[in-house]
Amino acid sequence: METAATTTNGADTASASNDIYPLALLMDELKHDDVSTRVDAMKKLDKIALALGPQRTRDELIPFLVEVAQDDEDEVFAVLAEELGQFVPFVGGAEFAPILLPPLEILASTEETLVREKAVDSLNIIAKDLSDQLLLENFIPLIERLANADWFSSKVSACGLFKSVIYRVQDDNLRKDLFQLYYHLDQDDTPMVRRAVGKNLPTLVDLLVENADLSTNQDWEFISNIFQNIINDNQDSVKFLGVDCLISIAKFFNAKNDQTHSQELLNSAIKLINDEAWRVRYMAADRFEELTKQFSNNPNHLNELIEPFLNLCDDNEGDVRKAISKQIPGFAKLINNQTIVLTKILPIIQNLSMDEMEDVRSSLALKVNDIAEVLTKDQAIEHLLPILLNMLRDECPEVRLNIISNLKIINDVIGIELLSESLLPAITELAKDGNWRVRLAIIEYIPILAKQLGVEFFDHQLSELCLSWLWDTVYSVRDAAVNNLSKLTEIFGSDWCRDEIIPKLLKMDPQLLKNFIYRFTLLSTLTALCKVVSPKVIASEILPFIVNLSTDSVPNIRFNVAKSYPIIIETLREDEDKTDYTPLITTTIDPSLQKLCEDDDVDVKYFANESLEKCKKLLAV
Amino acid sequence: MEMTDLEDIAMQDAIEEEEGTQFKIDKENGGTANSGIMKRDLNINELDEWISYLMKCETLSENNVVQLCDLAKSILQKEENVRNVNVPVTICGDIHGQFHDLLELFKIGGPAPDTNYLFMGDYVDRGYYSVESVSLLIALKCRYPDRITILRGNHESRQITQVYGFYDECLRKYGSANVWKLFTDLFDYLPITALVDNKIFCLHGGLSPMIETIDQIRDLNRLQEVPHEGPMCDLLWSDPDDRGGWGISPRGAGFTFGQDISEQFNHTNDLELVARAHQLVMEGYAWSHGENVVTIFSAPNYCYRCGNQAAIMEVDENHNRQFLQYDPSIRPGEPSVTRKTPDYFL
Amino acid sequence: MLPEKRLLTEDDMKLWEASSTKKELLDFISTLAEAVKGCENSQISEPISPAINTLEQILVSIDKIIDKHPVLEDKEISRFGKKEFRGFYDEINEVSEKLIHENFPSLTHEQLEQLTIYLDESWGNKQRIDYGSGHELNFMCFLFGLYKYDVLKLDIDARNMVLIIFIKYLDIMRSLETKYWLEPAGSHGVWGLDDYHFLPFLFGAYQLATHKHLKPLSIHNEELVEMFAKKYLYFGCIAFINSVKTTASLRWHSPMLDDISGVKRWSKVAEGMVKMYNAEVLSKLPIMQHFYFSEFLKCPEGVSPPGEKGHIHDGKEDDECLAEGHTHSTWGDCCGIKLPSAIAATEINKKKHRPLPFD
Repeated sequence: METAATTTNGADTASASNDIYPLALLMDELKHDDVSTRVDAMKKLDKIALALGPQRTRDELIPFLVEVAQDDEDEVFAVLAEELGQFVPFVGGAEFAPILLPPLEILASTEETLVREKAVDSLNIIAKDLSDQLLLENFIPLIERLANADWFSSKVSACGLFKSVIYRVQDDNLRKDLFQLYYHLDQDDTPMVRRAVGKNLPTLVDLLVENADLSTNQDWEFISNIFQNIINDNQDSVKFLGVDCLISIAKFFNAKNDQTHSQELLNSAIKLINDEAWRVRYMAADRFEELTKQFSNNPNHLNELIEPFLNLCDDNEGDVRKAISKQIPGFAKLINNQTIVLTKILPIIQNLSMDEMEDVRSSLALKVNDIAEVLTKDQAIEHLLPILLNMLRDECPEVRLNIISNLKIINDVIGIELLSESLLPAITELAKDGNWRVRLAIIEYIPILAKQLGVEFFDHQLSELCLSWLWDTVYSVRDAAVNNLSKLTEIFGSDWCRDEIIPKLLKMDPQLLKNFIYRFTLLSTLTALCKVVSPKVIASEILPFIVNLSTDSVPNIRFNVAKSYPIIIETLREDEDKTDYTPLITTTIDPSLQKLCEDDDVDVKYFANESLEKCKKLLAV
Repeated sequence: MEMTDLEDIAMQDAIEEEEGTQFKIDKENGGTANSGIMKRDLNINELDEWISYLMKCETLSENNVVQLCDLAKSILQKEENVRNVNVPVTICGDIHGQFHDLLELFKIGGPAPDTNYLFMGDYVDRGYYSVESVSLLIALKCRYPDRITILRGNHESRQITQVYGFYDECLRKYGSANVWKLFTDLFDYLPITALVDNKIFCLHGGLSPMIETIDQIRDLNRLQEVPHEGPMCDLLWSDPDDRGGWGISPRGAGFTFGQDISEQFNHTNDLELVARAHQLVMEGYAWSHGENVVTIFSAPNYCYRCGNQAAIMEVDENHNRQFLQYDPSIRPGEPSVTRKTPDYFL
Repeated sequence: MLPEKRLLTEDDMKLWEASSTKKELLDFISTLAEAVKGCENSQISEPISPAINTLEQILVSIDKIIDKHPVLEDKEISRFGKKEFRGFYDEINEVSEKLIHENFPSLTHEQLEQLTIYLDESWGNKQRIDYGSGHELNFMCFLFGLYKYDVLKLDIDARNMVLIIFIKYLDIMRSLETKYWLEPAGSHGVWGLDDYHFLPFLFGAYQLATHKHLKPLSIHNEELVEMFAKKYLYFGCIAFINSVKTTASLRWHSPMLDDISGVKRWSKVAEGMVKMYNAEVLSKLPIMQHFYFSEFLKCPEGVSPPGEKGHIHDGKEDDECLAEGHTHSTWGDCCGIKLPSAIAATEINKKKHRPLPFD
């Protein structure tokens, strides 16, 4: 049989010296002391293989890699595992692919999770190219070896490989053996192995869906038994995987339009939802919407889920309540039953909004607004609004922030005016919070709110607040406040800024301005606003003020004045009205800047000179 | 504030400069005869580049550290034992290699050079990022000598750093002790005290029985390893105490001193306050001795265990003081350092 | 003559490092380590000798003393060590000699005198309310003394000295550490192995030296740590550290342990641990200056003569530990615990061999 090597004979001999060179070089690099060199060498594996050609890759490179797989660092292994997945063409095609299995088998047995996972992924990729025959002769025995090893890591990897073979195997008996093996893994002592079984089961179920004609009742029986084992496992960390398995199984039957098992599945679902282990209930809560969807074509089934749902909302474990809180609007939509929503769900929301754990309230706050989608305007005003108003007064800042972050839908249904009275106190409280990151967070929301609330509301209620943030003790908050004013100006316009903001800035309390930090902030604000207001405003209001600061006693102010001049000039030059501000620049900015260039302070001089250069360039245009 | 030779030459450069050329700091002035190979000028752009690099918690190459320390030496050796500092300034305490918390400090107090800073030592040891922390502060000092003051702490010493981690860290991150040697040699040049507007006396540890007046400090020779005893040692090791008078320090160096001592010292030297660091305090800062002394500590949740806040003290141009307290920054993901097997295990 | 501290200078250290005493001590620890090679915590050697059982009972009694000194509810949460620890410490000192004597009547009065101080000083420092590898070493010296006085025999007891006795000691220590908020003495922050202990890592590594599958990297696997915390000392330590330092992952708060986890085999870790113990504990002056020499741990010739006071270490205010000229390596000092000034203020004029001050 012609090998790839003989067919490329000519190229082979011609580049013989090249062939030896890369391999030797690679081997050197792979033995290098420095891990990162070895990792980089691994990343070039495909190029080396290409240069060697398939024959030499098979004969020399792969055996070498088998050695490496037994002794190196995990970072090297991870790259190797990944590379090998692409190696089928490099070894000469699918018929030679089995040669890639030994190194990957070794890597699939290592303890480091990342390496194992990559090895499993690569094995699954290669499996796709293997012929049924080769799969039978090589891949399946590999799985068997891994599944029968004595340490958990091999077995965990084995669990991830079944999906590549289970429906390639035409022979029902052989498939039965495979399922038997999988089932056997489900009986393992080590929870880690049973977890792997549980994690991979949904995939196998999905394959069942795709291969509906091939699958037998026997297959289903195995899956069913494994599923039962999982949901009855004594380890929570295994049991809770049953939730995802159940969802997959339900999808399977829905796809077949087979309702014969749906009551059974519903019962299993309810069992999991009511499980004594909180982690299982938590998982059920976390997946609740998805879970419910599987039964949504049967109103009776949905009704059966209401009671368990309410139980979760009332669970002893805070983490469970936290998880279910996020699912409430989704579930309400599926139920599609106004009475239930009003009589059962809204009261539960009310309870959760006053939950003793702030994480729960905070989680509720993230999504609760969405419930408005299933309410009429009147219902929302009567039932939802009081709850939201209450949450806006919550003692935990995150709760208030989460409500504020999601107001759009309220606006759509109720209209923001009804909320706004409570909004202001809530915002003011957050603006004063002891934790500076909370103050920072509320500032970020202001532009969003401004857009929704409109300029009048803003001016009456929020503008004082936005200005007061400029005097925060923490720099990052002041900085955010400056940006905020810029963004608001972009929303409300230059005239608004000129009329509402700038006058207030320029009339700042002189007492406050005795501290250079606030003069500095004022300077930063005015400079930032220069980019968004009209040149007229700059020329008439801002520039005089800044020039005045150029003789400030604190050098830090002076060099920032110098830095702001190019920004000002840039904006003046872009005047839409094409007013020529050159005279103004010459009479005010130039002399000021020249003076700063001769300042006593080194940094003032430096920045002044730098600015002078920039200004010259700007004016030369 | 008088202009140093450095600034003098720099100004002349500026005046003679044509447009478009960079502002250079000439390392030649005051350098030792040894600076032959280091004669190349250090570009401000280069310093800016190093700073932005360091701000991302990346270490400088060993060559760069050589240049940086050389430049820093030429700047620091012109500074007096008692460095005069103008208000406004923000005064900070121990950092101990907690780099991410140092970045948090800048988020609270504002970035240099817009804010003036005075650090009172103990940049290294115990934390995992002493190299990055001290490199950043030294780079900032070189770039903005008039905006930043860095004093010496008791951990800026060859002996201490060999025990408490900085030496190990240098070995780990650079493969040899060269960088450790460069920094510890540089530490000899750090001024030991500072005087903010003749009112606030700043130093790492505390007072010394051999020092009654600030002038006496000016006469010391500081260009040496921290001695085991004597005034220079005391200034870096002493602690305020509840008991009056002088006491033997349980640390084995320096002394404890009582309120009577502090009051006398402040009176004699016409000071409002002694600001120092050196001791962990739960709230980040703590008054002692009837507000004659304040301790400031800027390493929050020290060693991931103590649960303390950190603090910095802002002094504005009118001498109003404000303390800003803060918590540790949230550590991002996993640390990016690769594992290095300690020698014992090779 | 009662046990006394002797090591003061670097010259002393050189003599100590070359001494047969040090070699004997290190060999003792290595022997214990070898004895637990490949053994899980539960794989004690049977039958358990009466001496081991008795010794365990002594530890049980000590454990019970903790309950007699509960921490009173504090109004303010203080980082400082809880003062009630001093009550515990005092009671141990009061009853220790009697406890040993009653349980091991074969010991002479002189032998008791030599042994007691090591047991007394195994639990932490009374004044500073801290604990470190020096205290852990004291406990090993106590066991060494019992071996030298033929109460414990290495050929039958070595394994149980670790798996029963040391484990019980460790349990008591963890209890003390958490109840009384003991400060780590001389901690190197992230550059040390652990804030408190060294030997559980050393013994632990030996336990794992022959394990077929577990690797040093396994300490990062949460499930494995959970599975093996109660089976192997090393994993127990990891679980404990993770439960205390919760604000960041292991790689952040314990980079040394992280570095060591990169070693290929546990056997290599085990070897390295012994070398590291020798260098970082037995050869470091700040720790060894607190080391007591006794009749069965003889001080090498040529070491600085003992001081004038007779070196009674009673933990009181005039404790020589606070005396001048005495090196300190307590982390507690560095972190602001106010200690009473023991001696009236006088300037130090004498130029003694001044040991290196440590923070």
